[in-house]
Amino acid sequence: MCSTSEKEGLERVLPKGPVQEPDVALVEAAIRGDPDSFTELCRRHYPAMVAIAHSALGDRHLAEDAAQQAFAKAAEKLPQLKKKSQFAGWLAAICRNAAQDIARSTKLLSSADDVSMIAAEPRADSVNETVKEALSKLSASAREVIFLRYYDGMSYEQMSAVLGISEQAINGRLRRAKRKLANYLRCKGFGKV
Amino acid sequence: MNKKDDKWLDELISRTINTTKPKFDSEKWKQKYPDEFKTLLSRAAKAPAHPIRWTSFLKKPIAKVAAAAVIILVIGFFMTRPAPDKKVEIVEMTNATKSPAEMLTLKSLTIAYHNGGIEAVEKQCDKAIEKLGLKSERITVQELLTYIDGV
Repeated sequence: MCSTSEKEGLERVLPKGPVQEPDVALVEAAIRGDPDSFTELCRRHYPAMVAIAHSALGDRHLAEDAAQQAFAKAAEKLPQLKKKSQFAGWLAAICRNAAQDIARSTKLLSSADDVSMIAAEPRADSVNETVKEALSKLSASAREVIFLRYYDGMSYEQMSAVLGISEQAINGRLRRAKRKLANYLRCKGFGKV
Repeated sequence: MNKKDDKWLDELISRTINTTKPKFDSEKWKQKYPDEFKTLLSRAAKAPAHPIRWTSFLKKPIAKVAAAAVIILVIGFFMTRPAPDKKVEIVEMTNATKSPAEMLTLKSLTIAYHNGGIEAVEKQCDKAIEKLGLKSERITVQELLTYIDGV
């Protein structure tokens, strides 16, 4: 469990999501061909998948395309999912691949391993642009954590299910990412951090 | 970073990337990916109308405990159940094939006692005596034992 001041601070800023039943029953029903269960799974995980794709692509519309593509692949491959409780993590892996495919097809990637944010054009006159620029300097995994936490407002528990790592690891990754962001912003002349 | 700076950074990041929360439009998705949606629906035809729940039920730990409890209760019931009358008959039938010496062993007499009490023991002794061709009224236990030792 993570009970750091950072987490507590975020809880105040970000709204808490409603308590939802586990995905397992929905996945089993979807495997049997129930379209409503699959739609509910899509509705539930769509923001997180868009956040993951957005962190990789840097473009909201492309991110939504990647998330929808991931659901299409999931609809086909769902019976192959062995551990139904790990649906979110499995879907996130499909979504990352879909985002990389889109990035390759639109020539967004400078190399196969370096997924950079195209939206982060360095324009120091705007605070938002500087933050975007700072985000583009982070590693893909660190940026993913930041996007999921702030963009979708996910809890540590939900993030743990999607990313397949412990809540403590998420907390550590988030703190390190924020420290890097703060250092970058400080170098750019932002006095508060 | 202190708490104040941390909060400021949170707000800054939220303002930069926290755009409107995306909502999944299922109708658009179905139009965009009709083949995948058909694949999903085609599984409904293959799946049984009323899926068997026993397999998933038995996977639950509580079901395993319940099954174990039922087995233990059934075994316990049969173990503590009083001996049926048929058992006495079976013992009597087997006694018919035994020699008098075998009929009067401690094991054999104990079995007879468990099956029918002291009456069954006396009955078994009488039968053993009958087999020896003796009359029970004229023989003492001492004589009987002396005779058996001689056999």
